[in-house]
Amino acid sequence: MILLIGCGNSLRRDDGAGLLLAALLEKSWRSGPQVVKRICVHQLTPDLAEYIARDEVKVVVFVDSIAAKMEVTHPEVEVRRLTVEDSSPSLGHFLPPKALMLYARFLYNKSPSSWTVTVPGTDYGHGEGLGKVAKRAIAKVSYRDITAPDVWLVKMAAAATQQPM
Amino acid sequence: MTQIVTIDPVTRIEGHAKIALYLDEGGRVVDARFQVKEFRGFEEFCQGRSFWEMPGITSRICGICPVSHLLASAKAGDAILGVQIPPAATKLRKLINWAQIVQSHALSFFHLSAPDLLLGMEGEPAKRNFIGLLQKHPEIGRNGIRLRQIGQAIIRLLGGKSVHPSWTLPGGVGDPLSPEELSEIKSMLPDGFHIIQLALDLLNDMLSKYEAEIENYGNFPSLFMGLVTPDGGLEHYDGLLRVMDSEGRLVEDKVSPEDYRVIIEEAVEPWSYLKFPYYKPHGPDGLYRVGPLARLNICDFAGTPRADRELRQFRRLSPGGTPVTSSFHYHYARLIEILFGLEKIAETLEDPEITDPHVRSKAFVNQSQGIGVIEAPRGTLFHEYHVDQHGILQKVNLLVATGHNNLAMNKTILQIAQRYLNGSRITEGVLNRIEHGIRVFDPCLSCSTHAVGQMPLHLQVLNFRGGVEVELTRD
Repeated sequence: MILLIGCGNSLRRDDGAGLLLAALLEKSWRSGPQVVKRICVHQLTPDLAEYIARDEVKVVVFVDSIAAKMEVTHPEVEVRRLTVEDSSPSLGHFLPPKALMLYARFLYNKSPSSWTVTVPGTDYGHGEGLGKVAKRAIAKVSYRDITAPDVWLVKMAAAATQQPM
Repeated sequence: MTQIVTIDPVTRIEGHAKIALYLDEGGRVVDARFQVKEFRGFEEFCQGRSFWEMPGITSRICGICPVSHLLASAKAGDAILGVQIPPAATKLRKLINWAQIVQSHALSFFHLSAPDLLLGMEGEPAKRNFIGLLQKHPEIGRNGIRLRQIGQAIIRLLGGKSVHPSWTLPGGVGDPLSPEELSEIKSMLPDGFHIIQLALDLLNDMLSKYEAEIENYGNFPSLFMGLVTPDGGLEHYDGLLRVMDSEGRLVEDKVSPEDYRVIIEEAVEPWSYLKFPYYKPHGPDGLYRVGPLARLNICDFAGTPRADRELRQFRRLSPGGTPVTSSFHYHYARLIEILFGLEKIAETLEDPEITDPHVRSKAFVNQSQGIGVIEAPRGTLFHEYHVDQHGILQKVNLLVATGHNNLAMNKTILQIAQRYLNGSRITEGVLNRIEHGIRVFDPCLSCSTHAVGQMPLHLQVLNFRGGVEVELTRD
């Protein structure tokens, strides 16, 4: 099973991009033979480790918005394979995907393959709907061609390694 | 000549918070400011929307305590409708609020604070985190996750989903509790009781190791505020406001929550978007604390057997029987509230009325103003709405727990810095102590500023000309 974890706040404009993209990916991937489960969360919290560690979960895909650091002329959804390494805690209630994967490993001895899919965002003000940059990035994904998620993730991650981090 | 030591976070959404420490010429800390830079715009955003939408909108402020906003919003909505909700609806709302207390406090204790408590405040930074804790004490990590899951599962069973459930509405709740759901909730409780007892034993065994921290982490006289039942018991959903001073004297009692403005005033400072509420009769220095520590200090009793036993133990921390003043004991208070929450859930599930199908009172707009008050995990939460005759919001004010504790957090940071900071040299240990001083309050910046909720740290030591002398970043 592929576990899709869409993360964000749909009332903070582009922060909701991950939720939208996760829904679109789920729809595409479900048209293929694979079993997909989608979870929508406001932020990543430790209890998700137990979901990730369930026997049926083979792949975990975190879908989130990421603040674009500069003016984006060609916004792209970016896929990266997650390398799980040590991570320091934050003061708040937010966990990065890497830490969550570490929880699954240390607590439940499970390490499914994991990926991050990020949508560039520039508008995190209060309100519904996405800004131009996030909207363009999501629109550029050809959902008809991604019924094979494993192939799509690898291909997109390869393309991302050509881009500066 | 003043030096400024700044701890400044870098987040994906620009702004949020930083900590600035002001040093005098001799390198002594003379002031501390916990500065929140994220704009709190939800009040403005909500104007022009219908009050019916507010539970759904305001619950999206925060991913940790959406239920608190749901309930405060629904209660404000009840007041606008001018209705008394059915008894079963009140009980179900209380049930979901206790579940919220359980999951939120579990996150605070096990995930955010246990690494410091079990691995040492000045332990090696690479290992003093939750991963380090999992490597050394995996059973504690698993217990923390399980306890939070229990709270989340109850919220999901009642509200349909664990994050942003929209089941609570003005006038009551959306659906009654089915016998199957009741059985499922009951089946989880033994695990919860087992884990919380282990956690209480663990913390009590550790307290003697943390005498210096107990003495210096926000240990000062202050007022304490919260809700109590009409007969003075521990309360999280309804009740009356009580304010107690650190000698145990009741400064205010039996104040109707709708009259909160009689005792609370809000100040703003140009250097922070977080509000600075204060106890009105004392003026802008009228510092008070809210949340678990305050609630256990102000109540006369808890009202459940095991929590009352723990409360008696807790009160021995203050030899004269006066309120416990060290903010370090928020940890202990949090665990007692988890125990109380589990006991109240168990007790409420035995009430035959809990599965009554009548869970909603229906009405139209009957009042132009509604105030909803509850005790959220971090403290008293106020939602105040003003509507026109169609229920469209004209004015919204949200007063959240992290705001109430703002003055106390600043004072706590100052106290820790004065005790542990040596000139402008910031070690990882000092940084962590300052962070822990904030963690004891479990502040929720999502709630207080309505931001997204991340808070990594970036620390700067600046000289009086603004030049950076030392810089530390913690992602």
